[in-house]
Parts: sequence; structure tokens; C-alpha cells
Amino acid sequence: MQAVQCSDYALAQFSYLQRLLFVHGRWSYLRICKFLRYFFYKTFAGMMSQIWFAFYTGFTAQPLLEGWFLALYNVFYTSYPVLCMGMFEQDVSAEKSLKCPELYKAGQKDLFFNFRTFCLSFLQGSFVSLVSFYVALWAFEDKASIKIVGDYQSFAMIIATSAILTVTVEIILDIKFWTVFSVLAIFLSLVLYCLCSYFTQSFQAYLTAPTVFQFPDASKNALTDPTALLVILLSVTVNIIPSLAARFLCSVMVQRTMSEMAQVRDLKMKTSMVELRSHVRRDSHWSRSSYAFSHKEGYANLISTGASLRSKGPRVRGELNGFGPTSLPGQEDSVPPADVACSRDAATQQTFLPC
Amino acid sequence: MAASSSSSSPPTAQHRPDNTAFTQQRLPAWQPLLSAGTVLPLFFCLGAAFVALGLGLHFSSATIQELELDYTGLGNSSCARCAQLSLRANHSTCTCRLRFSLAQDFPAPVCLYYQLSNYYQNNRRYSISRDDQQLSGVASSLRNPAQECRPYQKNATGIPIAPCGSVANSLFNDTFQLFRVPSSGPEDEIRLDKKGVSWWTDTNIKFRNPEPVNGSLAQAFKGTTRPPNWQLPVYELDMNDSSNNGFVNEAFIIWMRIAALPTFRKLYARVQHSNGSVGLPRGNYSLTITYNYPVLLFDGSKKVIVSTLSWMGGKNPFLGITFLVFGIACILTAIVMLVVHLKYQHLSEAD
Repeated sequence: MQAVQCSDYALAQFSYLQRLLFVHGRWSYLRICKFLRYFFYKTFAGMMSQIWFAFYTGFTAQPLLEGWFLALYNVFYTSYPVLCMGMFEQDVSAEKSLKCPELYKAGQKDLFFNFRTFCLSFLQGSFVSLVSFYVALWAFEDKASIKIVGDYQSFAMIIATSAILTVTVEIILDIKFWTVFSVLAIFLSLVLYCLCSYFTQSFQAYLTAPTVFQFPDASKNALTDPTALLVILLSVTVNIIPSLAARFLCSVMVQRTMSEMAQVRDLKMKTSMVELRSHVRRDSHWSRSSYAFSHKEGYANLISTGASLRSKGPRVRGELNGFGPTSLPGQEDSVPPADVACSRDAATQQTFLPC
Repeated sequence: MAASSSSSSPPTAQHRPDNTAFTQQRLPAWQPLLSAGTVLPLFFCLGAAFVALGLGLHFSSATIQELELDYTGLGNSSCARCAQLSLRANHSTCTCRLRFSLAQDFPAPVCLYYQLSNYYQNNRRYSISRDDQQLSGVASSLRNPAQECRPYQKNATGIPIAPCGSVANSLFNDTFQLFRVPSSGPEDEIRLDKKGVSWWTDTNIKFRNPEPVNGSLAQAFKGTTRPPNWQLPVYELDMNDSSNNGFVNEAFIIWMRIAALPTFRKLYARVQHSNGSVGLPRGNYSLTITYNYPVLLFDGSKKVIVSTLSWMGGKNPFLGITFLVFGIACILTAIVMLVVHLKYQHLSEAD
């Protein structure tokens, strides 16, 4: 009991380890990596425009974006969709994860988040911030307009709105497992952006505390100007189109897309649930339970080398549990009797980034 | 833990984890795939739409007329004498005259802007040097300007300055008068409307005068003094129109709305046109400028811009061209993606 209470994971049966690793462990790795990549991207995309603005203010640390926008960006405006992605994302179903344990190698090889992916998200975020800033700058720098849209507060709100819309569209492209919560989160983020902007920029708030709410009616004046709306449209599309093209080209150029699509069609049919269900019949001699591996080397090397994990059905679980005929570690280079679609799928899955 | 083949009681209900869709991760979900059938038509349509939009914007911008007149006064230009005079302190007023001619009619509405360059209104110390409470007419702040206004908070003798701060102190004070020069006869002045040029919230909420005392605005400002660089106190900014006097003077409001970038334009006035849709008919004009504002000290420049306006504002060639270029880039990308898709589809079908 004490071991259970101070452990991270406690398994009641050894067979649960398979699901823990191949289903939940793999999903967890995928979710964390996608979450991190997107989080870095949206931080760079939203905030680096202030660095470019510094070049135009004589480096006097004038912030480009409004104080309330900066405060609420990571709290309300962009956090819920990425949280949903970090909680619910799945690339393949539980059943497929169990059938294709080769997919687990992606985590062992650091494929989904490494220095290269961090650099890619940094470059993508910088590109987005550069485009948002410079499109607005060139459109408004010394142009006459109806409502003086070249002023500081309008400029700030236009760039802020471009950034929010761009990162929201990017998360829409990134989420591959759409639940009700994902849709609600995106909708809620946009609604909160509108509401919070409205309330922090209302003139009642300004009259109450002019130094706290410094942008009275900035959005209302800036975002009702046709030129401003065109600038926002241009920024968002210039930011998103390269990302969309890259994703499409990746998904096309990785071989055997058709089988992946077939797999996904299979996925849409009923898939097995991830239930904590014991597959070991109690009245058989398989019924050893609650393993502890402390004194012997145990069977972990079977998993890490992928030796005996060509599971196809319940009889194979006996192999996993270490009973019955199994391919010993020395025989791992024999041709595994896996279905061909599984290894194809594994190959497509392992070229995950940047698709 | 010992083998428990003997105790075969099923686990009790409260030890079982929740068996809901949320906790067991079997939420119904939609898993879209980027397929060629959605992406390629999207790119083609987007490219076509942007090309159309770009062409529309380009032609719309091309019909807008704009005239820029630089009057900084460098070299031998007409305002050079005034420019040199402005470099000295306590100089007398100097006027200079620019003559220009319009080759075509400028249709209504026509607006007059002034442009400053190398002028960092977005400098941090400059932009926080203001007191918004004083400007919104709060009585207690009128004679107690905020600390951020320093060194323009109180004058040398300790009298509070209204309006305080660097932004107010550096108010642009050149004035322009536009005259039409007919081929024969005297020049006739074109009326410029200096009202209705700022945001509604600015004029009605953000900037309010303190309550007049005995009907007089000057009395309301008793106990304060004008900023050091101003020639007139704030309650004499427009003696002809009391709704444009004091803090709610629109030229003052427009100046206080700081610009984002070092080169900026601010709206000075609209041309009041009496005869229908022609704002400024073609012909010769002369602009008389009262040159007060010194910009040569920081290598700045001053320009007057006469511009017509359309639904999208003034002349903006950047947007039209950028939409056009981007639309063409979209279509080219779509063609490349189509070729790649067909090539790999062919390859994977051959598998």
C-alpha cells in the first residue's frame, strides 16, 4: 500500500502495463509535444512584434500592445484551445496503438519535440510576428485616412487582432482530434477576446481609471475602418497559407497516404475503448497479478527491444506476461508476423513533424 | 503481493475508476485529414479572390488624387527664410507662401493633412508625459497635474501647467490658409473646416473642459498657466467657436492622439466645398503657411498633403499591390501542390 501511495503509476495487473505504455504513454508524449510546439509558436507570434516595434521607437521600451491584451493573451485568449489539444489529442485509436507497438518508438527517439522542432516553431512564430507588424506598418505608415488609423492605439489593436486570429487559425489546423470541448474552447477564446476588449476599452472604464484603462474605444474605431480590416485579412492569410501548404505537402509526400486514410476510415468505425478491464481469466494459471520488479531484471528489455510485441490477440498476452512460447530476445530479428498495414502506418506516423 | 486466485470477489464499486466518455477517453471526435479535395480548391479560390481584390483596390487607389508639398525650408525653397528664423528662440511669426497647381479636379471630399518625419511621438518618456485626468476635466486634477508630466508639470514659479506634459507642450502650431488664384482677379480664400476631424470619444469623453466659472472658460483655468512652448493659453485656442476652445480643441485632440511611427500624418482640416461634388477645381492655388514649428533641429521634415478620400481612405498603393502579388503566389502554390499531389498519387497507386 505504501508503494502504491508514493508511486506515479500503480498497476494492479501486469497486463495493464501494455495499455499504460502503448496507449496512454504514447498519447501523453504526443500531447505534450504538440502542446509545447504550439505554445512556443503562439508566444513568439504574439509577442515578438514588440521587438520589431522597438526599432521604430528609438529603443525606448514603448510597448506596442495594450497592457490588458498582454495580460490576458496567455490567460483567456489563447490558452483554452491549446489546453484541449493537450488533454484530448489522439493520433491513432487505442486499438491501433496496441496493434502497432512500433509507434511507441517515436517517443524513444525524441521525434516529436527536439531542438529542430523548437527552431521550426521559433522561426514560424517570428515569421508571423514579422508579417503582422510589417503589413500594418507599410499599410499605415504615412498614409492619409479617414479616421487617422496611423495612430498608436489603432496600430496596436490591428496588430493584436491579426496575431490572435492567426494563432487561432493555426490551432484549428493543428488539432487533429476534434471533440466538443475543442470547438467550445476556440469559440470561447474568440468571444472572450471580443468581450474583454470591449470592457477594457469602454469609456466607462476609462472614466473610472484613466491610467489603468488607457485605450478607450480603440478597437471600435480601428476595427471599423475598411483599410484596417483588409490589413488584418492580409496578415492572417499571409501567415497561414505557408503553414497550410507545408502541412499539405508533408501529408502528400510522405509515402502511402492512402493506407493512412484507410486506417483513419477504420478508425471512424467503432474502436475499442480504453477500459481498465482485466484480460486475464481468474481461473486460469495466467492469473499472476500485481507485479513488482525490484529484485530481478524483469521483462522490460522485451518491451524496449520490441522483441515479443507482435500482439494480435489474447493468446499473445500470454507471451507478454512471460508465459508460454515467446520469441526470446535473441530471436528478435526473425520476421515479425505483423500485418503489413501496421508497419506502413508506423512508418507514416513516425514522420510526424512538421505535418 | 500474493497471488490471489482464491479471493475472487470482484472489486467493489468505489474502487473502480469512472466509466464515462470523458474519463475513459472515448469522447466522440472528428478526425479530419488534409485532403487534396479541400486544400487545392481552397488555394485556387483564395488566390482568385485576392487577385480580384487586389485589382479592385489598386484601381480604387489610383483614382485618389494626392499632392504633397514639402515646406521644411531646406536649401533655397520658399520657406527657407522662415526655417532659419525658427531656429532662434523667441522669434517673431514668419509666413511663407507655396504656390502649386492642380492638373485635374479634385473631387469631394478633400482633406488637408500635415506630415512630420523623424518625429518620435512613440518615444516612451514622451508618450507617458500627459495627464489624462486633467484633460478629461476632473476638477481636482486641473491644478494638480500628475508627476509623469515633469518637467512640464509646473512652471518656474510653481504654477501648475494646463495642459501638462511633453505631448501637449509640443503642440503643432503651424497654420495654413488656402487660396485659389484665378487667372484674373483677386485670390479667394477656400474655407477650411477644422472641426469634425477627431474621434467621437475623444471629443466628447476623453477631453472635457473644466466647468466654466461665471460663463467664462478663462476663469475656469485661473491658477494655471500655459505650457512653455505655447504662445496662447489653452482657453484662447479658438476664440471664434466656444465648442472648439480649451481642451476640446480638435487640433489639440488630434495632436494628443500619438502616432505609432516616426513618420506620420495628422488631419488638419477638411476643405469646405460649396459647389456640389467638386472639391477643388483644377487651377492655381497658393498656400500661406505660418511657420512656427521648428523641425530642423532634429533633421525632421514638414509636408502639407492635399488629398481626396474614398471608402478606403487616402491613397494606399501598398494594399492593392500586395493583395495582387499574394493572390498570384497562392495560385502558383496551388499549381505546385497539384503537380506534387498528382505525382505522388500516381506513385502510391502504383504501390
